[in-house]
Amino acid sequence: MQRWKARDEDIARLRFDVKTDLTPLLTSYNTKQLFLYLTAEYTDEATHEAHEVVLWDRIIMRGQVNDFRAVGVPNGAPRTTRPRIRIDDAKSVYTWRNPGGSFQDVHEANVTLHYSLMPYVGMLSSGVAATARDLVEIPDVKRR
Amino acid sequence: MFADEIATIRKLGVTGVLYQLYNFLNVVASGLVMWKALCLVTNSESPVVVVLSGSMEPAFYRGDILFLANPPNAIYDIGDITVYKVPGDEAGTPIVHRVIASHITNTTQLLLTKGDANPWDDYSLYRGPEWLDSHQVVGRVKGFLPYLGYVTIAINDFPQFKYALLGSVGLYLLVSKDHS
Repeated sequence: MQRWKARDEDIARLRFDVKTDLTPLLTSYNTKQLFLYLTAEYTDEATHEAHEVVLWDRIIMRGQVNDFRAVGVPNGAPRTTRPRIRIDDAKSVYTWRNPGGSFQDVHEANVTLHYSLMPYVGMLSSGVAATARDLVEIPDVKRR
Repeated sequence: MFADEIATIRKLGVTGVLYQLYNFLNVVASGLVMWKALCLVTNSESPVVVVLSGSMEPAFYRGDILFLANPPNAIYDIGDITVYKVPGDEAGTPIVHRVIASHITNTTQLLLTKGDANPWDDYSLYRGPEWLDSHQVVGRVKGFLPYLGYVTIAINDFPQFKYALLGSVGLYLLVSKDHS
């Protein structure tokens, strides 16, 4: 499938690093998988509408607990066997678009890493895995 | 072949048969009452759904059972797994996918959804609109039970299985001895 737009539209991309420890979640007896997703939360200052978008996500199965340090890590970096999450220099995978078409009334966004826990059986749960140190500033548009 | 059963029915007499029939209807009615009560409590037209496709693997596989809730005027959070129906879809098959973008305006909430196993978002499933309106969402997945939905898949795929099941349950209720 392909998708084009007729109008001009601003799109945004983000590079990020993550360090967090989700050991208790990943070793709980009823954890089948963790769905990790990085979100940007922002308000359009002209319309005061609340927006939230997923920029990056990753599924971590219970059995892969020791593998996911490979995400975005440069070749040759040593691996660890600790079930901790470390993502270096990853890029957003989903296009960050504003329904209005531009980011001119958006100045900063709150970036958060969330998890959604999928059990073998029972209730689904979710929460915050890590928060950004600061608000992420939206830069001026780069024209190509 | 059914000599024993016919003998049992003869022995029961008219009132006995009527009583068994009443028992049978009672089972059907209480099932319906329980289902409708669940619909009321969860505010969802279909509070229990069976996964039919693999678009949410490895979270949900075909045959898994999902329990939904749909509080009135709910704001859907990003990362929630929602069930929605698209108007114009004749079959009206509910789609179970995850919310990956949310834009709250004065009047409504615009969503973008995606199946975990799909490479693309659901734009092409919306049949025209660029976003999914939150009013099209019929529920949010709250609970999960693996595999058991295969019973209903088998009932739908093999009508003979359905009639055999219904027939044997009905016959059992009609001829079983009353212990009360």
